[in-house]
Amino acid sequence: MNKQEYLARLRAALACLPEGEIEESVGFYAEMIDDRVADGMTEEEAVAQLDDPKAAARAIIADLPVVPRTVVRTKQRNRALYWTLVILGFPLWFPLLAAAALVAFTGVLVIWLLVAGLWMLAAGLLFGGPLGIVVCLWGLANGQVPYGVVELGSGLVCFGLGLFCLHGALAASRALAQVSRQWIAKMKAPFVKEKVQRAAAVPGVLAEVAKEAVDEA
Amino acid sequence: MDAQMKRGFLEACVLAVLSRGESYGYQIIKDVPPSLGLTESTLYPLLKRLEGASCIAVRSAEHNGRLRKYYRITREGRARVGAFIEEWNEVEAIYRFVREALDAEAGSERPQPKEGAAS
Repeated sequence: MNKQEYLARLRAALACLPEGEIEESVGFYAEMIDDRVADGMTEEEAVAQLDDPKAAARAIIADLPVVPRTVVRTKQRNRALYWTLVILGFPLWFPLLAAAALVAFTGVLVIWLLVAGLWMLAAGLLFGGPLGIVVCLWGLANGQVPYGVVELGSGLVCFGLGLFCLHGALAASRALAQVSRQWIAKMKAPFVKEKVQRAAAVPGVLAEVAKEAVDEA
Repeated sequence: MDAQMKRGFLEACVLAVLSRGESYGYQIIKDVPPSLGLTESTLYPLLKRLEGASCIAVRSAEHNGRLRKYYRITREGRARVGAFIEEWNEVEAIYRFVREALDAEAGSERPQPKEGAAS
């Protein structure tokens, strides 16, 4: 098999993927063959060192997130079955997908309403300050000195609490923005490849293996 | 070897190779120990995964009139190899524990001298 044949078979085996993804994969394997040829091999020898195009395609598909992977594998096995499932399964998969989307959206909404609540609380308390002063002046103007003083005091207490709350709301916004990002990434994980940093996946695997070893022991 | 575990090892190996300097696909295959059996069909998804996790950065450059992709390790990538090394101390401790437990079991299975026989 020469380079063209190999790449054509790989392209055929990846036919269910988006065009960009196919081009990228084929480009990678083309580079691998070219580098071997530059190393002194013939095209045939270079291709013989690579995995069979079907195995190469399987490895690429196996690395897709769960939803596109299932779609691609079903399509590959039987195109007619795939479309039958898509059409007849519509009353099942559509509500499930819609529910998943709504759950994701509700999560984001809850997080941001929490943030909004904190800001409103801070704003309300801060507004209490000037309000206290105004009511105090009104009380003084009407000869109600003790009432005015109490209003001034409570207004200032409100303002102080408001400043405190403002500080908390700022910190909470930052933290919740992070939570919101993580939530969105989690919800998207089954559908698209993650672009965020997957912290310490390697040690994670080792930790799992290690835990199993301890449990078994 | 467990597939998940091997995946982790290969990831660490590729990052280790790249920590010595920028490299390209075929060179990485040649640099990783052959006993790990790293092939193109393993390397390609692995590189994409590492790129997705921003552990490596990719650039295309011309080489002998064609484009070749060069991979470079990032700060996150270095952190990940560092974490892998540190994790090994723990793994070693667990290995010793398992080893000793098995040795002790093997020892207890040997016929014990009967109590009272000595007296």
